[in-house]
Amino acid sequence: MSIIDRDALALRVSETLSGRPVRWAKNVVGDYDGRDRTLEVFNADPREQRELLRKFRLLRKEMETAVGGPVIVIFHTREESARLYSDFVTKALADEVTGDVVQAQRTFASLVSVLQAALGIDRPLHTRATVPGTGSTALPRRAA
Amino acid sequence: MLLTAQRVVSPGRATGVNVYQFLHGPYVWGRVPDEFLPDSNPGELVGQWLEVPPGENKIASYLDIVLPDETSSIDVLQRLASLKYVVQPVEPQTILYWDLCWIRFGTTVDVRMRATELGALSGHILLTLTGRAPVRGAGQSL
Repeated sequence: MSIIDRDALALRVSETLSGRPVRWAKNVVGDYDGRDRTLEVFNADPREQRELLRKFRLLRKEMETAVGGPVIVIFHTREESARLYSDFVTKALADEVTGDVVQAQRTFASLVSVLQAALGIDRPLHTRATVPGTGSTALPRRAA
Repeated sequence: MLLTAQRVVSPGRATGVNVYQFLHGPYVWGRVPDEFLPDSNPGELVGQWLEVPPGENKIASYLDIVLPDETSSIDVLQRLASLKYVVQPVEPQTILYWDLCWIRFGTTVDVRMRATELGALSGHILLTLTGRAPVRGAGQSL
């Protein structure tokens, strides 16, 4: 199976898991059967992992046929994803949304001439002139 | 915290997406209280990233997300990336509570484009927060 096909599979898993970054494991410590069939799923906290496995089950058979054996899934919590893999995770999330950003931009450019309705009119806003604040002073004071 | 993205069209027909960030302060909630919603009090504006200078622009679509200021940045980014999988924007305006967040999405575009537009607006916020947004025209950020 080519690298492109494997990456496409990982992308499908990512879409199934609500856009979480997913990749085939790299630099996994230790030697074990299935090392080359190990998927890493990021931003998956323990309370979410059961649900994510349930979603993954829909793809598991197809995946295992494609890669030639059982797929091993390693979950990384948000905290560990940010601590150890922030570059990869940030880039993967940015890549995830770029398609929609570009497609909407193109579509909207062709629609703008016929845009009649508007949801409102915007107006300029200003940040505080001195040091930036840390929250609204108009809200009731109920500190954490 | 309120994160807002607005797709706007200027009187001269320039288009773009403007992104704003407001802070509420260090509050904790189980569900976003009404007084923290944008129509009640958006909070304090601390950042704006402008593709089209505001003032008299028509707003064609918008996305508002309210979440605690203390939310970790990785969680904010993941929620932005997951939004299009969580929200099914069948109606022109969609409002929902999602865990500790509150979401409001409104658009004038056709129903076939709504999911893409939702993904695009949340994507603009995500790209802005990660410093990857292609900001055009006058801009100001923290």
